[in-house]
Amino acid sequence: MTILYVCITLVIGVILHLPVVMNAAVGKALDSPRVANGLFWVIAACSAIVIGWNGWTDGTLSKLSDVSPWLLLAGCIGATMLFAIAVLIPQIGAGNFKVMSALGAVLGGLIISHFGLFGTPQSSITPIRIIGAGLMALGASLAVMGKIPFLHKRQA
Amino acid sequence: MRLVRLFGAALLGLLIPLTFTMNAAVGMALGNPRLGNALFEIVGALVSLLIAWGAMNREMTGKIRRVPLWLWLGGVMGASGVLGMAILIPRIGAANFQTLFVFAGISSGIVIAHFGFLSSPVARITFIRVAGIIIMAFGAALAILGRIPFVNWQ
Repeated sequence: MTILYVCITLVIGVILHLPVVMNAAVGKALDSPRVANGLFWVIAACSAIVIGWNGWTDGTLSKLSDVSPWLLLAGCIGATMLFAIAVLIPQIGAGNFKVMSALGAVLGGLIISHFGLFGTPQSSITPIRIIGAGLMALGASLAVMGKIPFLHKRQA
Repeated sequence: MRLVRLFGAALLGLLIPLTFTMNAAVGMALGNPRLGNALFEIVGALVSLLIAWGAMNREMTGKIRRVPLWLWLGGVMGASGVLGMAILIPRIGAANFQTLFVFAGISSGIVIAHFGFLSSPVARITFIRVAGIIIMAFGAALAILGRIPFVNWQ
């Protein structure tokens, strides 16, 4: 993994955090996170079509038959997931959600890489990698909550 | 019940790398991540519109017009970021990508919250929050390298 890829990934991590906040701001302005989310996806789809159009070459679509149809469900999972997130955050709090979803995302990434699913590079899960994921969850918890978890001050 | 919901949040987090790796797989199969990404966004837009359908009403058109135009750029940024994922995941692997992605997301999140950017609730950067970012960075290094950084046992 080159430093260049690391830097680009970090930039994407920062860039993709902004649309989430912007989507929430639009949801607040419209009084409807559902509509804001729908419109965001439409704009994203239009942008992706424009970007895809520039990379169009003859015969690109002929390979579409090689793609398992269930892989196209990714967009369906993505859209449903965002809706589920909007429902869950008011119930458990944005901070808790960020920490738990961060833990889930890192573990999910480790599992996918362990089996090299979907033809992606393989790297085995080791105890050190699990400890790393745990430390990430602990660090995320401190960074998001601003306090040590499970340590409550007694009220007088 | 709260524990179930927290577990649900972790499960949703688990779906994030799955979704983006599936998108990357479509791009690999087509030999064109840009087209794979367009298909992903089109399916996502259709499902989101279906979910939003019940909440649409006449007042909504006026409210949509009042939203500052630049806020809609979020959709463009989202599409570009997801395309970046489809290109990078096959190169560096899902685990490495997710680890760096989560680290960057949480770190930028506390900066956004510090300044209350885009009317998000203000939460000042404190010593504990910075310590959290440092612990996350160490955890990310362990998860990516699979060993303690700068230590060679041999």
